[in-house]
Amino acid sequence: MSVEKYLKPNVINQIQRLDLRAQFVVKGFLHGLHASPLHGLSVQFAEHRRYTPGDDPKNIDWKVYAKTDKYYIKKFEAESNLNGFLLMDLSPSMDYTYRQELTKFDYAICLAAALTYLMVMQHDPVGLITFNDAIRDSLPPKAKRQQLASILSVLANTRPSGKTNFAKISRQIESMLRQRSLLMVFSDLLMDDPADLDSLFQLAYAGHDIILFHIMDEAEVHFPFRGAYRFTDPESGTEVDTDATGIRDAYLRAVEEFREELKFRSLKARVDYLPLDTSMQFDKALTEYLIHRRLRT
Amino acid sequence: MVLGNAIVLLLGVALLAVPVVLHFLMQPKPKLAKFPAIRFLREQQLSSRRTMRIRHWTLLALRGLIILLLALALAAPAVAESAFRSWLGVVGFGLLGLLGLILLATTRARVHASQVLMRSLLAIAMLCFSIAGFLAYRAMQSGSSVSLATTAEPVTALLVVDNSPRMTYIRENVSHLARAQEMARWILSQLPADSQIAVQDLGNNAPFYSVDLAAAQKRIDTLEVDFLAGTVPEALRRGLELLGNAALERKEVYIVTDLTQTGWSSGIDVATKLKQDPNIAVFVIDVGTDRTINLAISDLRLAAERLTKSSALAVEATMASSGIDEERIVQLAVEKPDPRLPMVEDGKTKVPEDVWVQTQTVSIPADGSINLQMQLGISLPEGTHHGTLSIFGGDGLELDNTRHFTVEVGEAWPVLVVAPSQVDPRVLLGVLGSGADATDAAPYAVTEIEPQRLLDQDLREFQAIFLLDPPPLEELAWKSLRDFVDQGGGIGIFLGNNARRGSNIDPSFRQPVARDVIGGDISLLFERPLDLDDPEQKLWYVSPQSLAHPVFETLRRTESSFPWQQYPVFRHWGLVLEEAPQHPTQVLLEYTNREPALVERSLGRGRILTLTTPITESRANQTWNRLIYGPGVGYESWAMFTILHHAAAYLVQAGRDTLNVTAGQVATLKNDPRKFPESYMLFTPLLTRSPTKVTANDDRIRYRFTDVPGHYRLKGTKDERAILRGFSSVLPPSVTDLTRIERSRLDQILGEGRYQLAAHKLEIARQQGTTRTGQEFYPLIILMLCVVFAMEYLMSNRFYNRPTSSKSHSLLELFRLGRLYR
Repeated sequence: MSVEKYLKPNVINQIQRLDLRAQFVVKGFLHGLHASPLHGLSVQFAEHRRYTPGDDPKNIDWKVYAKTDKYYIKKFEAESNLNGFLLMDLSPSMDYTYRQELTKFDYAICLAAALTYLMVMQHDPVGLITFNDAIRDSLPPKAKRQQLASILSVLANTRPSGKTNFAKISRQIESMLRQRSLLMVFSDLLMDDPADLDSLFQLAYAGHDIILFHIMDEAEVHFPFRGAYRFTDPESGTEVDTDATGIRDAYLRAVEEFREELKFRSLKARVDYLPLDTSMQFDKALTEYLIHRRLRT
Repeated sequence: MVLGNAIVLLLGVALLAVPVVLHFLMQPKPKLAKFPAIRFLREQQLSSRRTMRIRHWTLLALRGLIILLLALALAAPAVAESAFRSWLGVVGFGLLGLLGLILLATTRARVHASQVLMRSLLAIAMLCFSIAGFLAYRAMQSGSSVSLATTAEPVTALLVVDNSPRMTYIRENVSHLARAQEMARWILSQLPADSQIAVQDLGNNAPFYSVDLAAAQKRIDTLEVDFLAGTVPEALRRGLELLGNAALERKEVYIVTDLTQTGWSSGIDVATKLKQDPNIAVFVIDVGTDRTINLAISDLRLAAERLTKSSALAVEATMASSGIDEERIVQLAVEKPDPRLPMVEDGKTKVPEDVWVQTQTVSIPADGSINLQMQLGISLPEGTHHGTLSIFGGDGLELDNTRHFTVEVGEAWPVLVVAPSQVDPRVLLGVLGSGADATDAAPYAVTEIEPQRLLDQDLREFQAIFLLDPPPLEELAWKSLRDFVDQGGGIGIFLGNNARRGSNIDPSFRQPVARDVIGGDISLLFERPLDLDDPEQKLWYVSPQSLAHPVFETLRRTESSFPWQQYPVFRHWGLVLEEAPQHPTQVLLEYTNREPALVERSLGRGRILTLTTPITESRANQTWNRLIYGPGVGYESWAMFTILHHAAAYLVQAGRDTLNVTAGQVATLKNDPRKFPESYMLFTPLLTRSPTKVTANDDRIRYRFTDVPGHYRLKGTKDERAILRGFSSVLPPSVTDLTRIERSRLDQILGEGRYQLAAHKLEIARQQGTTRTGQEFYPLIILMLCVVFAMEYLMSNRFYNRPTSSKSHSLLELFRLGRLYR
C-alpha cells in the first residue's frame, strides 16, 4: 500500500483548501493545542489581544493595563515545543469494512495523514505509535516534511492483528513520554472490558492532551442487516446467531449508549471525544471538530 | 359424510406434516458475516432468540394453515344455504380468535411486553373462540351440519321427459322434443358415475331404473311423441314412488318440459310428496317458448257423422291463432273411395289420393280465434268417407293444422211413430225431419201407425219406435215391444192422458211386461194445475241435474242455462223405478218435486227412454205441461227440441258407431253380419305399419289402439265385394294447446321454493352445484388462502430478509416457481 493512497491529490487539496480557507481556524486550533505550561521558554511575542473571560489571568499584560486601563493578553508566536503522537490501534476489528471499500484502519490512516500534514505544515513535531497488545512500531516526533512520508510508510505496511490491551499500552506510553504531549488516539474502542479505557484516561490526568478518534464502521453504526445472520467477531472468533431485523433497534440503542458513555467519560477526563464512522467524510468531520475545539478554547 | 370424503379429509390433514417438514428443511442457514461490534449483539441475543422462535412457530403455523385450507378447499365443505350465515359466523369468529392468538404471540416476543395488552388479547381470542363454538353448536343443533359431499357422489336421478304431442312444436328448425332429448342427454352426462337413472316419459307406464348410463341414453334417444301422453304431475307421481325406494341418499328429479298448461293440468298432489322427502332436488327445465307462432284447428265439429245420401257434408271448426296474423287457405277434403285401396305396396300402405275439395280463405286475428263453417258442394255416395280439414302455411306446430274426420253416408234410419188418431205427432215428426217440411236429406224414414196396428207391423224393419201418448196396450204388444228392444231396437215412450183410467193409471201399464219396457211401475198421477189467482204459486218444471247423457249434448255445449221455470209441468205420471241389475234404469231428468221426468232403461241390446209427461198437446190446450210451447208464441223450447233430437238419434243408435273417436278411446262399429264381413284388415294412420286383422265380436268391431290421430281404414270382403269402412281418431283440442303455465300454478303443483327452474345448461349446472353441495365455502377458503399466503410471504421475506434475493423461502414463491429449493 503506497503513501499516495492516503494522500491523494484530492485529499491534499481538501486539506490545503482547509488550510487556506480556515487558516485562522487552524492556527487557533494549533494555538489551542499549544496552550500548555511550556510556552514560557521559547516563545516570541506576537501581539496583544483583548482579554476575554476564561483567559488565564496570569497572561494579562499588566503593563499595558497600566497604560490603557484595559486588560490585554500577551499572545506569543508558537514554536514547536509540543509533541504530537498518533496512536494507532491495530486490533483486527479495525480491519473491518462492510462496504468493502475503506476499513476502519484505512479511515484512521487517512485521518492521521491529514493531521500529520497539518501539523507538519505548522512545524509541529509528530510521532507515531502503533499498538495492539504491545507497541508495534513507533516513530519519534519530528517536524520535518519527510515525517509525513515516514509515518504513512509505516502505516501502509502495517496490518491490524492481535488483541488490543489498552491498559498495558497506556502504561507503556506514559513511561515513554517525557513531556506533555498531544495524543491522537485512533481506535474503534471495541474491547472486552470497557474499564480498560480508564488507563487511557489516566494519561489525560497525567497532563497529556488526548483526542480520542472513535472510528466505527458505517455498518456498526447503522446496522444495515436484515434477517437471520451468524455474526463472527474477527478478534475473538465468537459467533452469534441472531435475527438482525428484530435486534436492530436494540443494537442501535446499545451503540448509542456506548458512545454516550464514552462521551461522558471523556468529558469527565477532559479528553476530546470524536465519534466517527467510515461513511463520514473525514475532512469535514475534522473541520467540524477543529471549529468546535477552537470555540472551546 | 361418506367414507371417501372422510379419507380425503384425513389425507388433507396428513398433509399438515408436509409444511412442518418443509419448514425445517427450508430453514435457511443464517447468513455469515464478520462483525466486530458483536458485544452489542450478545446483549440482545436472548430476546432475539425468543423472537426468532416465535416467528418460526408463527411461520410454521401459517404454513400449516395454508395446507389445512388447501385440504379444506379440496374437500369442498358446504352447508345448506339457510345455514350459511351461521357457519360464516363460525369461520369469522374462529379467524378473529386465531388473529388474537398470533398478536398475543407477537406481543409476548417483545422484551417489554405489556401484561395488560397480552391479557386483553388472550381474553379477546378466548371470547372469539367461545362465540365460534357456540355458533357451530347451534348450527349443528338445527341440523345443518357441514357436508363434505362432493358433486361426484352418485345420485338417484329421475328424468321426466315431456313427450306430449305439443313437443313436436318446431322452433328454429328444432322441435321441442329434440331439444328435450338433447337436454336430457346433457343432464345424463352431468350425473356422477354410478348414479341410478330412471327415464320417464308422460306415457302411462311404470318407471324403471335403466341398467346403466348407455341404456338410459338409448331410452332418451328412442323417445317418441306419445299422443296419449298424460300430464307431468301424473308421471312425476309414478316416478316419485320409484324414488321413494331408492337406496342412494341424494335424489334428483329433472323435468324437461315445454311448461304448457295442459301438460301440467292435473289434480294430483305432488307438492305434499315432495315436502315429505326433502332429499329430493327438483329441477324443472324449460325447453318451451313464450312466443309461440301457431295456427290451429282447435276443434272440428261435424253436423252429422251419418249422412243420408242426399245430405251435404257440413263441418264447423274453431281456428285459433297465436302470434300470427295472416290470411290462410283452409281446405276441406274428402277422399274419393277406391275399392282397391287401401293396399300395401312396397311395404307401404297406399291410400286414395283423389279427393273432393272445398277451399276457403280465412284471416284469423293474432291471438284470437274464429269459427268457420264449410260445406262440401257435392253429395257423397253411400259408404264410409275419410276427410280432413287443413290449414295451409307454416307455423310452429304442424300437428294441429289438420283434423281428420270420418262420415258415413247411408239410407235414412227407419223409425215407427205410434200415435192414436186424436194425438198430434207433429212435434216429433218435426224433430225427425219428417212431416210437412220433410226433405230428401231427412235422416229418418218415418212410418206412422195407430196403436191397434202395432201387432200387425213387422217391427224388425225399424231402428226405433216412438209411442206418443200410448193407450193401454195388450200384453202381446208389450211383449213384442220388449223383444224389439231386446234385439237392439230403441223405444221412446211419451206417457200422457191416454194412460188414464179415471184418475188412475190403466192396469195395462202396470203388468210386468209393460213395467219391463217402461222401466218401472207407474204409480199415480201428479197434478199441480195452474192457479191463475195465485201469482206466488210454485210450479213444477224439469230440473236437469247432470248433462252427461248424450241426449243433452247440445245443452251441454251451450254455456247459458235454460230457463226451465218458464216451461212448467202441471201433470205427470209418477214412476217407481224397478231395481233390476240386468236391466239398469236411470233417471235422466227430474221435476222440481224430485219425481222422475225422463228415464232410460237398457234392455238386452236396446234401450228405452220414457218421458212421464206428453209432448203431443196442442198450443191451445196445454193441460199437462208447457214443455214445448212455453209461455207464448216465440218461446218454443229449443232445449226440449234438442233433447228430442238427440233422443231420437240415441234410440236409433246412430251414435253407436264411433266414427270419430278421441285418440286413445275405443272405436266401436256395428257390424251387421248380413251386410258386413266378419273380419277386416285394419290400416292405421302409420302408413309404414303393416295392417292388422280385426274380427267382429258380438256384431261389433272394437279397436282400442287409436292413439295416433288420423284415419283408421277397415277393408274386408263380403260376397266378393270390397267393403270399406273405418273411423278417425282425433286429438282433443287441449292436447295441442300451447298456453304456458303460470309460475304461481307451478308453485302450487310442486310447492313454492321446492324446485329450481332453469332454461340453460349453465343455469342447471349452477343450480345442480348449489343443490348438491349447498352453499360452498370454497370461495371463502380460497380468499382466506390468499390472505394467509400473503401473510406467509410477507413474514418469510421479512424473516429471512431476501426481498431482492432470487432465493425466496416463501411458500408462495415455491408454489409460483413450482419447485422447492434451499
